[in-house]
Amino acid sequence: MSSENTPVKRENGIGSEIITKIAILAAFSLFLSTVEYMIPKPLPFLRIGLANLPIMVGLALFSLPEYLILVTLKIAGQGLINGTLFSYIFIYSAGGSLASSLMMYLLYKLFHNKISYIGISLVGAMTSNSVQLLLAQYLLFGSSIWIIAPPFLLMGLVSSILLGIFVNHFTDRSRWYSSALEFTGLYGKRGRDEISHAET
Amino acid sequence: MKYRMQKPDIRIAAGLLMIPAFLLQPGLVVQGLQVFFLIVLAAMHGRKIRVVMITVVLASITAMNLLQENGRVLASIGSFSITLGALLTGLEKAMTLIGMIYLSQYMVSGKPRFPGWFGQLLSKQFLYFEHLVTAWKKPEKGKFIESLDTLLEEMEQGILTDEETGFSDSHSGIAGSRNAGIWDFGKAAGIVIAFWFGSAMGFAGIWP
Repeated sequence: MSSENTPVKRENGIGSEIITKIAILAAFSLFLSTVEYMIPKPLPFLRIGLANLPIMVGLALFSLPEYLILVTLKIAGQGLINGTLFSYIFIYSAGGSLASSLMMYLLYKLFHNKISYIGISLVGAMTSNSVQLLLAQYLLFGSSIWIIAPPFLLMGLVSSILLGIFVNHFTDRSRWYSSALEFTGLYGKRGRDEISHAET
Repeated sequence: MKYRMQKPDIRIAAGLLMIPAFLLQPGLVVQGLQVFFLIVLAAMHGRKIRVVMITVVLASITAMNLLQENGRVLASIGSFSITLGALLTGLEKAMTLIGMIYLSQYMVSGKPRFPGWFGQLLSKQFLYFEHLVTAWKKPEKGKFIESLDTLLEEMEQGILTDEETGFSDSHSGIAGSRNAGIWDFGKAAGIVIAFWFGSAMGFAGIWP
């Protein structure tokens, strides 16, 4: 592994290979968002958060600016696909996604060898849901929004644990992920552990 | 269809001009008419009218606002009172949300291409997305990650060139002929003027 400790050169800001990886993960996020859209839900506001899977996969691959580009692409792409780019829904989506992504990134960078993707996913979902509840309180529902907070947060809790389990599984077994990890060279100890685990 | 606007950027501009007239509207009846207008506009540009979504949003937001009693009591069910202020606030918020969703759908119905580096990146994302949607097949049992890997690697290995993704060309974000642009401009101007005229009736208190 020649690139193990050497970050890939990012000439002219961000290299084209990195851009391709960001665009692929953003497209994957959009794809999962469409899959989620087709799953019937009792209320239109309830979400499983499948689209966060690529965002979590990107934690070990990208620097903060690159990661923020991925998150912005996910938010903008969802807004365009669902047609909500210029509506209140977009504010919820953007607020929740941005807050949770930053929290997950911070957690990953600070405690990446102490916390699993399940923990990261859980904190991300709780952050996203709390921000969305606050926005809903001020924009649409008023303080009665907190009546639906328990089922909303419970749904987030369950789905984020399942998502975290899947991300753990994916990052352990995916060929694409381990080659991307090797390529970007931004990983710390946990990233190297993940590569050696995938190789064995 | 002839009534559709071909130019996505003109739709965005028209939508942006309609937003203040919609959000600042004080009259509930005018707001209702505006919502109807926006739903029809989105439907004319290929968007589906989702009656269930509209009903659920209208009912849930109104119901949640009814819990915060405000103003004259219209009816009581046990200890719960339906108040006029809460009902009007709930309806107003629900209609604002529904109206903005359909206005937004009208604005982005032409797959707009945004200018600049980020716009190109967005186009690249959408091309990969289209590839995912068309190439995705139901994976064999227990081989979900392998199937996903194959797709991700295909994209990585350049099934789409920079030219295809629009990453190397400098597009203006405008599609179609010059004539289409002039017609679209006329249609957009008509829509915006009609929308603002309705709003003015509400602002002036002529319509409730």
